[in-house]
Amino acid sequence: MFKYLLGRIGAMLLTLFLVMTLSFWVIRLMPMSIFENPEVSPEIQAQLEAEMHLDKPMIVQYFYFIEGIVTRGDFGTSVKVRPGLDVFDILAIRIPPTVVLNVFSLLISLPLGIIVGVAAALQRNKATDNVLSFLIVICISVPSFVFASLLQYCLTYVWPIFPTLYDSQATTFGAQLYSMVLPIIALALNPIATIGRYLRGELIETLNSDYMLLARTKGLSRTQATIFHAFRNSLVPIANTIIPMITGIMGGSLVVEKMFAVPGMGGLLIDSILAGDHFLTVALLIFYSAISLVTILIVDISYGLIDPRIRVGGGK
Amino acid sequence: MKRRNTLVVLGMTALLLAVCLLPAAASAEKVLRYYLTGDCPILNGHDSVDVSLDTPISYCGAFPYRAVPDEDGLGYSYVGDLAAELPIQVDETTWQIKLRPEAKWQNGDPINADTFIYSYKMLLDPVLSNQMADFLSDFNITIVNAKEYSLQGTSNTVAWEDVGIKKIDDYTLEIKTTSPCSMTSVCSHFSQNNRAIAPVYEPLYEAGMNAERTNTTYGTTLDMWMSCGPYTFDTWTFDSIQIYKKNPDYWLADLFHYDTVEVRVIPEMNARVELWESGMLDYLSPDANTIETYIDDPRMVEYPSLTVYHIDVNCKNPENPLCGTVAWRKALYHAMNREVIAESLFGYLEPSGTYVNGQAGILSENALLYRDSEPGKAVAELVDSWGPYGYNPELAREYLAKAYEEAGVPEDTVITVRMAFDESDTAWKATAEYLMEELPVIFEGKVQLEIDTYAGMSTTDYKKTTDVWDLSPNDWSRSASRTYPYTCFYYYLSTYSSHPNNFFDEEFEAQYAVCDSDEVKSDYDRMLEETAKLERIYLDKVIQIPVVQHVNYDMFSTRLKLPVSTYIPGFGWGIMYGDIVE
Amino acid sequence: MMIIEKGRPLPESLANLPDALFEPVGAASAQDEAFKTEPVGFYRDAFNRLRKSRLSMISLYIIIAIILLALIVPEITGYSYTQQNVKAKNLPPKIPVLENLGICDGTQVLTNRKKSSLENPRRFPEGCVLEILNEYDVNGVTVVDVLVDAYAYSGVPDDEYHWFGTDYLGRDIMTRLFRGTRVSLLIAFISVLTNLIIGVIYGSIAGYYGGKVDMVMTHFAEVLDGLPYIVVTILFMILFGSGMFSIILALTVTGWIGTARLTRAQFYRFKGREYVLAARTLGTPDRKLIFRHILPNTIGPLITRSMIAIPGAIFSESFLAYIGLGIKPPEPSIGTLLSVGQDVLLQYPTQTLFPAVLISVLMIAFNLFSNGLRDALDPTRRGEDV
Repeated sequence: MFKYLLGRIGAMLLTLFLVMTLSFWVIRLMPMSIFENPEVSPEIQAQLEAEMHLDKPMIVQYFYFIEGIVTRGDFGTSVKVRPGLDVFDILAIRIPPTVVLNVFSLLISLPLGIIVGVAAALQRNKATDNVLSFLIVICISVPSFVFASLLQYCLTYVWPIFPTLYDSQATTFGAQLYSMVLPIIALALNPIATIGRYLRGELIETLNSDYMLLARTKGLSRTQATIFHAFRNSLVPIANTIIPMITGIMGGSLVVEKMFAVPGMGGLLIDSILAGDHFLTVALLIFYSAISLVTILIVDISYGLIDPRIRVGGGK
Repeated sequence: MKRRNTLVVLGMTALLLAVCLLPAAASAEKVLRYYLTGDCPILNGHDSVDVSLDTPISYCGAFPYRAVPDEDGLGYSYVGDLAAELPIQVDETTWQIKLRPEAKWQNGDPINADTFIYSYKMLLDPVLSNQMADFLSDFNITIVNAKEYSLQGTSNTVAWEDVGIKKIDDYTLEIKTTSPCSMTSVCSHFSQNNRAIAPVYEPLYEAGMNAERTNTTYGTTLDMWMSCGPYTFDTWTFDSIQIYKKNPDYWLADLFHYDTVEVRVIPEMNARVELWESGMLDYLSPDANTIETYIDDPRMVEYPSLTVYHIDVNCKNPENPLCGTVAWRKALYHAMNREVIAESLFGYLEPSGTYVNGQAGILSENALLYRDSEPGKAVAELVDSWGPYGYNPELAREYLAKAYEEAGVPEDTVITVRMAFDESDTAWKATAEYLMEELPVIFEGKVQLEIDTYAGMSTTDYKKTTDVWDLSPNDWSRSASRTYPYTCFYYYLSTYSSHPNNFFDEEFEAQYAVCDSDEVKSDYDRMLEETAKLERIYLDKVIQIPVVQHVNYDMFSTRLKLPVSTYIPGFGWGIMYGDIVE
Repeated sequence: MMIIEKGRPLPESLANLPDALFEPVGAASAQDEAFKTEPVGFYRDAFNRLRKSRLSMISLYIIIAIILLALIVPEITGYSYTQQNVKAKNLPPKIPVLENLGICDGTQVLTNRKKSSLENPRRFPEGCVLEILNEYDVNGVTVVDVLVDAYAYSGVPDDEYHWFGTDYLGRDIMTRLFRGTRVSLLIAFISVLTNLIIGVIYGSIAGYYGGKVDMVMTHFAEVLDGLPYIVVTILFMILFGSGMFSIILALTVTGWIGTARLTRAQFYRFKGREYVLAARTLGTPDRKLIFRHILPNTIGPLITRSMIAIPGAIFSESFLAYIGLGIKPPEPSIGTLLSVGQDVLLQYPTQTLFPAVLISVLMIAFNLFSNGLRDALDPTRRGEDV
C-alpha cells in the first residue's frame, strides 16, 4: 500500500511538472506587455519589464519560474488583476467562497442523489420511477449555466425571493449561505441526477442477486433489504462518479460564480485569462490541475476503505 | 437509515427557511450604495493606472486641495484639505503650499511636509518606476526636473535636490514649475483630480519594499494601506465590496453627510440592473444593452466624455495592396455610417467625424470646450460638408477608385479587410459584424471584411504578434486634453513607442510641435487655432478613423440628493458631497 | 486384389471409373433441417431491441428532427444568418398563427417612458401603443409603462415575421439558432469522430503489441489524462484563438484518451482468444489481425461511448462561448447565442429562452438515445426482450 501510494504521488508530481511546463510555455509565449494604459510612459514600461525579467529570452524566464517554485515555493506575483500581490495570497482569499460553494453542492447532492436513486429503484417501472428518471435525464442534460440563468431570471428578478448577489459581509454563516442558495442549486442538480442514475442502476442489478433473496427469505421487507444490504454494495460505483462530479462542479462554478458575483476561483481564472495576467493564469491552471489530481488520488485510495475486497495496488 | 436521511433533508430545509426569514437589520444611518464594475487591483495610488482607484482614494485619502461644490450648486471651488490655505505665489513659477497642522493619518500619526517629500520622492523614484510618476511631474503643471529625475534609471544624472519640490519648514512645501501657471492649475494638480498626489504612509510603504527597492507591496491589502480622508476604509472583500465609514476626526467633516459608503463590485450588468430596480443602488450607469430601458427615465442625466472611439488603420499590412495610400484610408473614413453605429450599436452615443473629444478644453481657464470654439466648429462643419459626420458612400467609392489607381491595382481586385478586436468587447463586435455586411454594399463588392478576434491579450500585444490586420478599434484617450485639447493626438506621434498604426507624417508632427510650444500653450485662443490646424491635417491624412463620441449616462436614485443642480465640467456630480433624504 | 506401388500412377481402369457406379450409402439425402427463422446477428439483435425501446426511438426522432431543422430552417426563413436591420433590433417573437392567441404576437412592454414622449410620432409611430399599463411619478415627471407593438414601434412592416425575434443587429434569431445548431452539431460530430479515430488507432497499437510499447503509450496517455480538461481546453483556445478549428482541437487534445483505454482493454480481452491465435498461426499480417479480427469486437462499446460524448462536446462548446472563448463572429453557435442572450436576459428574456430550450432538448435526446443504445448493445442482454 505504502509503495503504491509513493508511486502514485510520484506520478502525480510528474504530471504537475508537465502541467507547469505546458502552461508556462503556452501562456507565456503569447506577448505580454504588463501595461495597457497608454498614458504610462514607454520608458517606465521598459524599466518595469526589465524588473520582472520580461526582457530576457523565454528559456531564461522559464528557469527563473521553475527555480522560484522549487526553491521558494514562489509561483510569482500577479501583474494586472492584483498587481504586486503574491499569487498564494490571492488564492488564500479566493479559495474559501469556491470551496463553500462546491462543498455545499456536493454535500446536498449526496443525500438527495441517494434518496432519488433508492426511491427510483424501489418503485422500479412505476410512475415514481418514471417521473424521477425523467427528471434525472433533464438534470444530467441541461448545462448548469442554463439552470443558473433560469434561476437568476425567475427567483431574483421576476419573483425576488433570493438575493441577486453573493453576500460577503453576512454576519452569520446562515445568511451567507442564503445568498449562495441559487448558485449551489444550479451546481448541485447535475450531481444529484448523476448519483441518482448510478444508484438506481446498481440497486436494480443487486436486487436480483442471491443474497437479496436470502435477505428477503429471512423476513426483511423489500425496503429494508435494499437499504441494509444492497445499498452498501452500490457505494463503490458511486465513489466512481465522484471524480468527474468534482471536476464538473469546478468547471460549472467558473461560469456560475461569475453570474452571481461570488468572489471565488472561477471568476478569478476568467478575469486573469481575459486581462492577460499571465503569471496569475499559470498559477491558477497549476492549482486547478493539483486539485483534480489530488481528488483522483483520494478517491482511488478510498476504494479500499469503502470495500475491503478491493486491494489498491496489491502485488502479484 | 432512510429515516435519518429524511431527517437530514428536513433539517436542512428548515435551516434554509429560517435563514430566509431572518429580519433585515433596520438602521437609521445614511448609507450611500455605490458600485464599481471591477475592483481596484491595488490601493497604491503611485503604481496603479486603474481609474477605479479614484473611488477609495477620493473617499479615504486626502489631498492638499479639494474641489468642493458651491452653495448655489452651480459651480465649484478649491479649499485647503491637507493644506491650510490656497497656494501662495512666490514668483512667476514658484508656489508655496502651507500645510494644515492638525492633519493626521487614521492612526493619529501627523501629516507634515516630510510626509509629502517622502511620498513624492518615492512617486518619482527612478528605480521604483511608478506608473503614475508622470501625473506628478507633468499633469496640470510641469514641475522642474521631475520628469528628468524619474526617468533617469540608474544613471544618477539628476539629483533629488534639483527637482522642484522642496520642504521649507515642517508645514510648508515649495513647488517650482517650468512655466508660469495659474492658481487653478496648481490647485487642480494637487487635488482629487489627480489621485497620484495623495500622500502615502511611510512606515507601510517602507515595510512593503523589497530588498532591491524596486517594488513595494504598499496597498496590496487593506493592512498595507492607511486612510487619512473624510472616510476610513473599513472593510475590503476583494471583488465583492468596499465599505467606508465616516471619519469623525476629519478636519472638513462638515462637508460630508453619509455615515457609511458601500461600494459593491458588480461585474455583471444584469445584477446591477436588478439591484437598481429593487432600490439597492443609488447610482446606475446603463450600458449599450440597458440604455434602451432607461433612455426616457427622468432620473437619467448625461454629460460628454473624454473618449472618442476610433479605428486605427494599419499602414503596413503586407497582404493588402491598397494599404498605406491616403485614398484608401479616406475611402474607409467616408464609409462609416456613424449615426447608425453610435445610435444603434453603441447605444445612444454621439456620432463623431472628428477626433478631439467633447471634454477637450474643459479644464482650461474659461472652460471653453474646443468643440464649442470657432476654430473647432469650423472643422466640424468641414466634416459635415462631406456628409452627415463624414459618411458619404459616393465619396467613399470615388476614393476607393483613386486608391486602386494610386496603388496600381487592377480594378477588379477584391480587397479583404481584416478587422481585429478583443472578443469580449460587445459594442465593437457588433460594429464589426455590421461593417462586414455594410462595406461590400458601399464598395459594390470590391471590399470584403473579415473578423479576427483575440482574447487574453491587449491590442498592443496583438499588434506585436502580426502585421496582418487592417482595422483595429481603439478607445485610447488622454486626460491632459482636458486642459490642452491637442494632446489627444499624442499617441500618433513617432515619439510614442507603442504606436498603434505604423503610420507617421512629418507635417502632422511639425504641427503638433507648434501646439506643444510654450508660446502656444500659454495663449488659449492661439492654441485652439493651432489645434484646429492639427485636426485638419489629421483629417486630410486620415491618421485614424474617428467613429463615436462616448457619452456618459448616469442615473441617481431619488433618495440621493446631489450637491449640484447640473453637471459641472471639471467637477462632475460631486456624489461624495451628496446627502441621503429618505 | 490389385496392389499399387508407391509413386506409380493409378492404372487406367481405376482412374476412369464412371460416376454411375457410385451411390450414397444409407439415407437418400443427408440434409440438416433448415432453420425456420432467419439467423439473427448481434447488431441485428441490438437494433431490434433498440427499436422496441420507445424512449430511445422518440429521442432518435427528435435528434433527426433537429438535424433536419438545422439543415432546412436557415434556408427557408427568408433571412440569411448575417442579414441585418439595425432599426429592427431586439424584436420580440412573432409567429403567424400563435399571434392571434396573444402569445408571440410581437408585443413588448416598455418601462420608464415619459408620458409626453408617447405623443412624439418620431419615437412612437402611429398605432404602436396598444395599452398604457402603469402611470407613476418620478422626480415630478409622469412616467408610464406601456405595451407596444414592437414591430410597429421599430417601423417594421406589419407582414414581417420573426418567429423567435431578432438580435442586437436585427438578425433573425430563428435563422441564427438553427444555423448555430448546425455549427454546434458539426463541432460535436467532428471532434467525436476525430477522438474515435485517434483513440482506436492508439488503443489498438498499445493493446495489440503490449509489453514495452504498451507501457510507454499507456503512461503517456495517463500523464495527459492528468491534465484537467478545463485547463487544457482553455489553454488551447488561447493558443489558437477563437474559431471552429481551435474548438475542435481543444476538444480533441485529451478527448481521445477514454476511447484509447477502452480499445486497449478490449484488445487485451480478445487477443489471446483461440481464433486470433489460429489466424496468427496461418500467417495473417498484424494489420489484418487488428482491424479484421479483433477490432470488430470493440465496435459496440465504441458506438455507445461516442454517442455519449456528443452531448458532452455540445456542452463544452457552449461553455467556452460563455467564458468568452467562442466561435468567430458572425457565425453563430448555440453557445454564442446563449452567451449573447445572457447579456440581455432581463431586457429580452426570449433571446436566452430559445437557445436554452434547444440545447436542453438536444442534450436530453442525445442522452436518452445513447442510454438506449448502450442497453441495446450490451452483449449480456442478447436476446432479452426489453
